[in-house]
Amino acid sequence: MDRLQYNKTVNNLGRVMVFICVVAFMLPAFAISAVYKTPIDWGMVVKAGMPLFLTFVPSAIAENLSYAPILGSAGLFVACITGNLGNMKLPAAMNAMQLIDENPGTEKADLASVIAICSASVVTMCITTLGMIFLAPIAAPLLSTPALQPAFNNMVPALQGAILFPMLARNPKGAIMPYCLAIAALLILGRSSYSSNQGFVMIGVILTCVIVTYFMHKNDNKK
Amino acid sequence: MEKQHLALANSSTMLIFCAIAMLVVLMMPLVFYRKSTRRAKEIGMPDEQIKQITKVSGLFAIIPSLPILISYVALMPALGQYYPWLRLSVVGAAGYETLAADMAAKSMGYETISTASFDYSGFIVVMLVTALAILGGNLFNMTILPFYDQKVKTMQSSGSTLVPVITGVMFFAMYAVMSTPYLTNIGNPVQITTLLCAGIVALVVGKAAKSNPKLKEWVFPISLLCGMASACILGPMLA
Repeated sequence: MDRLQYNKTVNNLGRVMVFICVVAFMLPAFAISAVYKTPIDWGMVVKAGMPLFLTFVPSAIAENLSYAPILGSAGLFVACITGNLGNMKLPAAMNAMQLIDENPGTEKADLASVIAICSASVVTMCITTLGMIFLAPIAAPLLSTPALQPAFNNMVPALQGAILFPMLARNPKGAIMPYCLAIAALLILGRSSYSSNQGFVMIGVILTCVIVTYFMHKNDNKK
Repeated sequence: MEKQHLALANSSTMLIFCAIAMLVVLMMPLVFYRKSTRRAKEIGMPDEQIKQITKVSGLFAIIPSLPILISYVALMPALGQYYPWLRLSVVGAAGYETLAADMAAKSMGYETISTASFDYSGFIVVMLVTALAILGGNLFNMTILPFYDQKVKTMQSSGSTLVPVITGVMFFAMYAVMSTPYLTNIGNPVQITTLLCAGIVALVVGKAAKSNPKLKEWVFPISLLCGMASACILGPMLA
């Protein structure tokens, strides 16, 4: 089976499994409504859910457009269903690619990404289940200790530093344009607006970088 | 006063339905793991590499799972024992769940999710809202991703020298957008020092791993822990 064929199979499997999972995690609400004979107040669901839906859907789509070429579609299918994409699944996938010395986009990198995401997902599910059963009452006071709070409050910058620096060391020039654009966007939009529109900023920066790189590459080839 | 909805939220019925949903979702990483490891073997990836990725990723996931436990404990008094377990394990993210549940409570006239006491109907609304509002990414995956991916893969398979360059630029662009708010946050210098510390440790341990290959799989967890430890040490000094 060649790569494109394999990818087609994975995409079909992914669509079916995502559908099944979406039905499964909507199940408790419908089942509880049926068991307790409590009708669903759809008016209230729309009223309460619409602003959230409109807030999260565009940024989720923008993020997925950016993540797909890096994580591969199989990785993205699993990561989106199991959640914690940016703070766990993306770094786990990037780390796996670095581990086997592959750059995003190759078939081996895609496979490393999905293996890493699946492993991380299963571990997280086990930890949350253990937490639900008996760890939470014991672990919560320890993890909530004020002395440890800076560690958890700053976990995301730590994750980013650990992933970013080895890539920067390999190709420092490649980072110049993306960082200039991101800093410019931050200065133009302001910190709060930048954060709330990060998905769109990402698309804008990626598109600009890709277009500029394409033309630079074309010019280099002509020379 | 006991919140009305907690009798329902902590019932065995709720546990059963949440457990069923969890088991169904657990199938997805298991099926994809099996499929991708088979393919990896087909294209000649050594078993050792597959095992190494599995082990390192599993170990790595432990640390970022700890804040999820904290969020679980924080949501438990408001939403009961079982539903936050499902939400934080499936699709959700710690930050989103609290925000979504709180917005749902507010639109039903309560001050916050912490103080809300819903009737059963209200609690079902919260369950549906938190589940529906985060579906965007998955709707995209079910509809557009296969076509988008096919285009990307066709380009990648064309053997063009441009494709790896573009993918590399996309990676930097993505991380530049995500890390810039931290790197430029002069008001909270701990974020800057944490990012730098984790990055420098990654470079140092990465270099050491060249002469000691067994260290390679530990580069990331060690850098992450050092970055987080630096936040604990420098946080009180820089505050």
